[in-house]
Amino acid sequence: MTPREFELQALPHAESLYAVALRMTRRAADAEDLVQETLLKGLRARHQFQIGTNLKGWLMRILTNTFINRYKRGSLERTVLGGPEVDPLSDGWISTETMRALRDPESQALRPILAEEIQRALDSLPEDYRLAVLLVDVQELSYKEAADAMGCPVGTVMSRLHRGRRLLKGRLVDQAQALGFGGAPLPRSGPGGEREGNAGKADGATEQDALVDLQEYRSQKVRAR
Amino acid sequence: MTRCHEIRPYLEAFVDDELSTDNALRVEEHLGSCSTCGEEVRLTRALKRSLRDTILEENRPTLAFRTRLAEVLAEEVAREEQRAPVAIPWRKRVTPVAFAAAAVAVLSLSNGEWSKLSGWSTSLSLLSGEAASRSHDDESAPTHQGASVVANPQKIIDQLVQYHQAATEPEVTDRSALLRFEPQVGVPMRIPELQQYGARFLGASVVPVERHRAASLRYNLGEHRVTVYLFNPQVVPVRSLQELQLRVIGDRAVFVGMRNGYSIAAIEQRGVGYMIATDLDDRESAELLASIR
Repeated sequence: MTPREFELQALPHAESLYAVALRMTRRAADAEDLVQETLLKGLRARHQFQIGTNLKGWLMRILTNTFINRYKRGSLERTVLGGPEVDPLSDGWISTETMRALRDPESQALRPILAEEIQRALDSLPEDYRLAVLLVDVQELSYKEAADAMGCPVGTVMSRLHRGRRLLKGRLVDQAQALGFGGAPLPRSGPGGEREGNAGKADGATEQDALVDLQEYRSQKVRAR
Repeated sequence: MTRCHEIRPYLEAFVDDELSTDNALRVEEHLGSCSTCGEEVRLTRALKRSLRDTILEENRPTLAFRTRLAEVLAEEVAREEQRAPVAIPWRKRVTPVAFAAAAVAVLSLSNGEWSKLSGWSTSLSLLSGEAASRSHDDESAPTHQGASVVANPQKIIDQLVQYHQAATEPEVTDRSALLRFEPQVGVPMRIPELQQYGARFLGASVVPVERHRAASLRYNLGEHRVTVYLFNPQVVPVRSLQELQLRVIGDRAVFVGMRNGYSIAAIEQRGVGYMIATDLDDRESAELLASIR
């Protein structure tokens, strides 16, 4: 790829790179530096890019690497909040009724009033989860591309993504209830009460479904401070 | 029938299109008969869609940054191309104008430009240090602040093209008289030397541009008419116009476009904005402008 070809093909991705960079760094000046450096690094390393593969994914990999090396505050957060991988079956549950209430039936997206909150919800996620969500949901990278970008196994991407999305859904349920829709108030379990054993009753779709695992989310938020 | 707890771990990968065909079919089959899992899938899809749309929509870069980024990248591309001279685009079609422009580009890179370029590369290699990238930002900051001063930059182009079209008598025909324009325009009157293209200087005027003023310099180049405008780029931000496209000529970033059949090109050089309006083709006018040092 000639320098000029790289310029022509890479520059159109600048906007979406910037959006992700800004949600990573949360400061416009940092995001601008990050995007500029990504494109310049990419230009110099363009021979390493395999033509025919996903250029945006490759640039995201450079951007994410640069971000992790430069801005990430050590590995403390990872050990505290990343924790052991969760068993996906012990997830919190949201009733079908509530799930339906969160969506806008026509647009196949969230209700607009919830979509407004999505950025704030995303910002509140632990960094690793936020990165996974940004790479897969916003940048539409494959699990493999996201794993390459974050320098972790595919399974770790899946688990971070899953946890990130679950926290986001929990936030949306909170928000919906604060706004007066989204079903009955949630039963609360006691402090520190990790609910378990939902797995076997998954078929039930009864009042079990009304439970949502906000407890863990809240305690994570407290720990994150 | 497959039970929910067997399917559930696959739901997100299903939404993300990451399942093998076999597993995707199993999930689909289950979804046909299970409203709970179906709702989960629809919610996850809705979340993905809203995330993508909202985050991209609400985190757009500023025009000033996009412009700066395009320039920085174009400069770096030009440097990379100089390392591998075969790839320089304008060598593919050598025209008399292009040839002269090439000579000018090489000659005038003698002192000031090289030190500017090498200074820039120093700040690049130090980019990991915050200070270096900040100082680079600061250099270009005034221009971008200026970009917000003028309400309708599109109108500026229209005006300047109309002046070129009208071809009224120049106020002065003597080069030295141009110095008088400096206080009105607010930038040094560095008169572009276009003789190497056979251009003949006819005269100059001051023209109003919105609430500001530009100097208009008239040339003949063979049968073609060329008007070069000099202006303060902080108040007349032509280069940040989206309809002008960035083009790299040698080591220079030139903004190029067409209006009413005339080609227009804009560039900034040492704090002075230059714009050209002419009936030459856009490649030639870009090259003329890129020769200004």
